[in-house]
Amino acid sequence: MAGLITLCVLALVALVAPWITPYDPYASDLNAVLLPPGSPGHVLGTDELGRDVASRLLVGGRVSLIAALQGTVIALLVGVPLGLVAGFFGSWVDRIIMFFTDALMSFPGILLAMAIAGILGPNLTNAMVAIGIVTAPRAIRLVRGSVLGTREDTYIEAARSIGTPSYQIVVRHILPNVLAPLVVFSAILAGTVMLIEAGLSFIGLGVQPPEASWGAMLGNAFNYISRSPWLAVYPGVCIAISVLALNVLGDGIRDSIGKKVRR
Amino acid sequence: MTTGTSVSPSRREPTRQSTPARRRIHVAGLLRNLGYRLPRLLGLFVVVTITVFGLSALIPGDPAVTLAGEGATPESIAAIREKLGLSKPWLEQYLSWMNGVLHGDLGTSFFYNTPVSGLVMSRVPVTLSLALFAIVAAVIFGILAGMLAAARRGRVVDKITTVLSTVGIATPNFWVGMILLILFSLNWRVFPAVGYTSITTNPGAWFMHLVLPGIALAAAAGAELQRQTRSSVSEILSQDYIRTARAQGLTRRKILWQRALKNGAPPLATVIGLQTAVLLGGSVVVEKVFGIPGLGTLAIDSVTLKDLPVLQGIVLLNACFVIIINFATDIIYTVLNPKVRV
Repeated sequence: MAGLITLCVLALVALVAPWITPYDPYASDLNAVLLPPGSPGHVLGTDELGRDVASRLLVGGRVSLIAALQGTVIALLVGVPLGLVAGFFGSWVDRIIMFFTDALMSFPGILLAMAIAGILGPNLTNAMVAIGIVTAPRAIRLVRGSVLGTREDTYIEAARSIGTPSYQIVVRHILPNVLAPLVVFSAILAGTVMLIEAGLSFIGLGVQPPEASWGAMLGNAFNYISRSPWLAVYPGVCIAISVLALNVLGDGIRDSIGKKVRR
Repeated sequence: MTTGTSVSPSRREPTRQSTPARRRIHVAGLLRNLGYRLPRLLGLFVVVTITVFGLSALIPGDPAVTLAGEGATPESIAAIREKLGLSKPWLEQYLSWMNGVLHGDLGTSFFYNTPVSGLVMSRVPVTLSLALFAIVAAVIFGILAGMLAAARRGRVVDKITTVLSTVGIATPNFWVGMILLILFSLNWRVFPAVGYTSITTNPGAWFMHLVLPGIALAAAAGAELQRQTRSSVSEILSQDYIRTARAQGLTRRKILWQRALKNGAPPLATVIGLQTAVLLGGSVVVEKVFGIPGLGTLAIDSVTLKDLPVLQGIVLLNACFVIIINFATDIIYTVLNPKVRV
């Protein structure tokens, strides 16, 4: 519940961010560079170009949350159909899909995402495509597992015996059963995606300046870490709170539906 | 694959056999296990190499032009095309690349103009030191905290460690690194801020350089281990045979360390294996924060410099590490958990 409320607040702030920022997040003011927090007019201080940190945090949060959503949706779009097919049809189809899934899972996620994003060219869309591809195997595994759990149920057999076509069985009878664990998984996956995005943006492979996600702000802050260490604090706290909210939300749903879903 | 002592299903039943016979069955089962897994391992390796090779297909536009960079002369573009064999058919390119890989030849770096294998291998000890430091720290602290939480379930210690691990999982490792850097290197100057010293040069400096990045990298893995230890140990502690052991007068400490940890070990082995694989990837950004000249820093540089052969080499090497770790984890799991012995 706490996770849900936190998440709603974050989403709301992200939604209205462009209208509530006290300053233009892209307007530099070279007379007010690297002001410490609590400076008059700038509650959280300013960055190396004199941009208001509070305003940039608000807009950056919007970028981070949208990116997390993008990556999660891509992973699900790739993973869910493949998982359904693998679990439902079984035999060699299953074996082939799972073999490639295992192969893809042999790569350390962030490294492969970095390679793909780096080769495609540094921008946020490419980064999120890369992260989606890298995390899709987890979705495949989860969906396949849940399908295997329901495939042999009597009502599926009944549907099959009266001649219901396969795709209809999958969509009407199997998908609803997969949905509950999938919701839990998506919440936790969004958190993972957010962490990877932060890493990629930190090394400059995600969103490009002057736009910034929280991860990119950390990357910027790193260059001034000895002069203005406070710049490195807020974006990290924001990321941690968001991921925490997503994880707590996922755990909460899992407990309330009483099903065991692996992280 | 299997030795002469093939195991019939009936003999696998836990009947009271003499010890040597039982041990022989374990060995046979393990060998059969290996025989079943090795071909799969090779298959995985082939798919992984195809994926790594296929990364070059992702280059937008004409690869030779893109790789040559801005202001490239037609000659340098032609040289790159020649070096990569881009005019040949795809399969031929892959096979000749693969032939090189099997002979330890990963190509030549575009930027440094030296063999990739040498470049990559010189960084391996650095990253392995860091990963090893982190995993040892994560195992020690994660399991201790998990045992503590399970033994004092519902008390303050349990709540504190559980909150800590929940936060630890949600925090980006490189940010933990940055905060540690600010506090312990820039403010209190306890640890050196950046760089790395090889263990053969100066073991003390080696250790000091690894403490902060090691902790940053270990935080999430330790947190994950704490959760797993807590849940599996507290489940075991609620079993009947633990109550029996209590009734027989065994001390709590003995029960905790001898019974509970031993029986809770198999899932822990899996988590440790999984987290080691995650650590290898996670070290990329942490290395960058602490200026450690390991594989991660090299990978970031090769992305920036569009040095494809180096990037491919690192990705391939890391995937091989993960495959080996997963394989070893499976074997250890089988040894620890008699139920899955086939």
